Amino acid sequence: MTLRRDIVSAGIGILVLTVFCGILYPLLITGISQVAFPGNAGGQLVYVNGKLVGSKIIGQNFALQVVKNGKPQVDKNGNPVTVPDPRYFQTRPSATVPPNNAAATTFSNLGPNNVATEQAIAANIKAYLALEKPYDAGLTVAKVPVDAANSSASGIDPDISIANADIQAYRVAAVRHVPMSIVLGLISQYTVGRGLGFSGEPGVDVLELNLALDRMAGARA
Amino acid sequence: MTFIVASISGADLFGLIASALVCIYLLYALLRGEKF
Amino acid sequence: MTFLGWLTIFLFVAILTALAMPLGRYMAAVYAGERTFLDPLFLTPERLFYRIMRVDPKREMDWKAYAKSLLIFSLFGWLLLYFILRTQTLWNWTGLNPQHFHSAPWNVTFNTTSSFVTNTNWQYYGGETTMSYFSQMAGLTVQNFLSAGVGIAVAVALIRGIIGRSGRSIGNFWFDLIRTVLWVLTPIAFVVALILVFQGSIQNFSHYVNFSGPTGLANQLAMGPVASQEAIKELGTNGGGFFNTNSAHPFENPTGFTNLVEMLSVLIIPAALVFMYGRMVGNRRQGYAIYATMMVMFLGAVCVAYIAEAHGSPAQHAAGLHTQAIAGSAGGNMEGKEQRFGIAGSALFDVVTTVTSCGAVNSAIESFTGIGGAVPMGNLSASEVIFGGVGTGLYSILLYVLLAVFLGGLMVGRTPEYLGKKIEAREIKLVAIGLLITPLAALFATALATASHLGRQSISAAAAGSPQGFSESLYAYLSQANNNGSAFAGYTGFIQPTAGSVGSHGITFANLLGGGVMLFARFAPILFALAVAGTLAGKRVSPAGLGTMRTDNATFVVLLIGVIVLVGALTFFPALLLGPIVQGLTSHLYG
Repeated sequence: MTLRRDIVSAGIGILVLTVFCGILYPLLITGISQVAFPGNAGGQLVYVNGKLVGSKIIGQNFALQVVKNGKPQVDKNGNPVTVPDPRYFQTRPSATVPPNNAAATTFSNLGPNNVATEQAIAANIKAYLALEKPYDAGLTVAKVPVDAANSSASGIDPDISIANADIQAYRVAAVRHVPMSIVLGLISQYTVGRGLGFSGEPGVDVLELNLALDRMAGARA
Repeated sequence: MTFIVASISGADLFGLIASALVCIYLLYALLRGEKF
Repeated sequence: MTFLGWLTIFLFVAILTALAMPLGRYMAAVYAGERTFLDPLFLTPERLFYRIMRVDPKREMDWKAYAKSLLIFSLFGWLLLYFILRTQTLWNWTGLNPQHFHSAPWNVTFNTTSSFVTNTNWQYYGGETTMSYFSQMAGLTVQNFLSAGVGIAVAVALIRGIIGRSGRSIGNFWFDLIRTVLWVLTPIAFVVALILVFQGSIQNFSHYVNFSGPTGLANQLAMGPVASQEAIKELGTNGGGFFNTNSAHPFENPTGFTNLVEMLSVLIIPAALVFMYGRMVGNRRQGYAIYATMMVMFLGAVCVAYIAEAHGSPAQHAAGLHTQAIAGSAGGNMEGKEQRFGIAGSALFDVVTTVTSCGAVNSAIESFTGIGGAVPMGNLSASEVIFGGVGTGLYSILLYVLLAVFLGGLMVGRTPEYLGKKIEAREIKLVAIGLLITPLAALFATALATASHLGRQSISAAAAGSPQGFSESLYAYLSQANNNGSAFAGYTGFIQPTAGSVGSHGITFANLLGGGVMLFARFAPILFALAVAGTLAGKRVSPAGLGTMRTDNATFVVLLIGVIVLVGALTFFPALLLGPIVQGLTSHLYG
């Protein structure tokens, strides 16, 4: 008899609690969020000349698709073959396919004592040096910041460390013909500080920095 | 079940069964209490 | 290691304690039915729930009736969630499946359903490529609330058993469940969700957004009602991320501040429950003793993890990277970590999530250094009593308290008694079995999964044949048995060639073994905890005498820590040696 009572209560209970917790609660939060913080709730989307170019808090791959003989190159999975665009600051290495895929995030899952990890890190270092050393002659392996050689967790980390940005500044300033002081100033401007002044590490928002450089280039043109 | 058993090497299977038997025995001893 | 890193840890502990004490006081009033400031908001809905559900909240339940209601409720929860997940396209009409994802295969769904109903939130799938918004909201978020409610209810029931002096009643399951959802989980989740959106977490029902970046490369942004789920994910120590990369994803955890808020959300209820316990038994020092026990072990774990990760990994050093902190970069092992959290924010989060049964991650545990990765494993080996999951942490540590009282009694040659009640053979048998279920389940499952080549399929290619492969397997079953849900994420159970699960398949062995382990190691200990509540309820209380061993002083804290560490170490040290410890002691690279 109590079994039947339990079954009735449980059966009705799971349904009403599903409505309360699974429909009313998210709808309420969504409603308030869309009214109070509409930009955030929608993903802090950034538009340039009316065209959507990304989200402020999602890292992107600032690279150009390789074009050989007029044909854009793709790899065997159909993803574009790319080279980093030297006009822009680069985000951290990403393990998603293609890099910085914001619809299919993944960890690299490279272990600490793994040959594959060492090879991946070495490859990232090599690519970083190839890109930056021509403009920053004093750069050595020992000076490469860890965030430039290690993959991020989400694969779409929007930030890079200040040390990383400072090294890339040489290249960006030279390629864009902009004084270093201006570039460094922009880096400071788009550096996000620690939570409450102590939680986390400062990071430079690469998309905002790159868009600011583009705006400056557009203004000067 | 047989499929799983077939996928384990003989030595590992022996180890698994032996440790399971020991655990079961210890549980039995616990439940029987002081009357040992 | 940086000064601010250590400061973060210190301030975190201080803020947590400052918040948990008033919450504990509030929760004691909630379960006693006393007046609280949120009564005007929730009394009417509460009455409505009881009426619709045909429940009499005043009906006293003994432990068997309580267990029966709990199990039947969980079963219905399981059935409804399985149904929702397997009929994902059926709900397209709600507009909440904008990407038209098909359902995941039956074996993966079995694992996912068992996972969320048991508060584990182990995910063989990635949220943004598998789950519709409807599934996440009406399916997974609901179990985030309800599994948390079930866990807390058991803890409250055990407390009533400990203090009960007449009859066999340990309360009413429906009362405890509804009160938890209304007075505790919903208001805090509401506040946390809005804080998250304020800081940048998303909350919408949009289609995924296509765009081209400044260099012309095409990309797509996954969307969804994230913040509402994120809040209860942390608060109920669930841990299942909306997206695959969980709290590393900027839309789930956008800033260093939200990282702090999320970590506090995970620990706030487990910590508050300890203070609530002290109040309910009428001796707050009992609560402080348990809190001190937990905090000592917690801080030990955090320090080891932080130091290990700040030091960097052998792979980094072999590649020539310098990992010390310099101007503009905090250094350390940044593989699988986000810049905005840094080493301290990632190590602390990792410890917070593995001492509790949360299991959310803001960094890749698989990429932690050998010793850094041994810390979460060690936390899981302590059977999640260092704060532990909501409810499960408290009732698990109370079982350890009874065990410590028993051992202490043997050592001083007196009848063991706790808070005036004699701990006899019957209690100890229940305690012993209750405490051994989870570790034995974890070890046997790991043994089976590593011995059988069906199990070894799940090991990632890079880790196969190395200690890392064993670590992946051990961690998988430690995590599922302890209902944690974090993972060395190279360990797979779901092969998904394209988003939406068309043409995908699950690895049946891993999914079924994992699902079974989660269900068994969640509900069997619950039954034993309720049985202990049952035997203690109605026991005669004898006043404390000169010879009574005290359970609220530093000596007892040391004894309790010793018992927990001893049981955990004896059980798991051989297994830990084979995986993380061997990697931590060497700079040899495998593969």
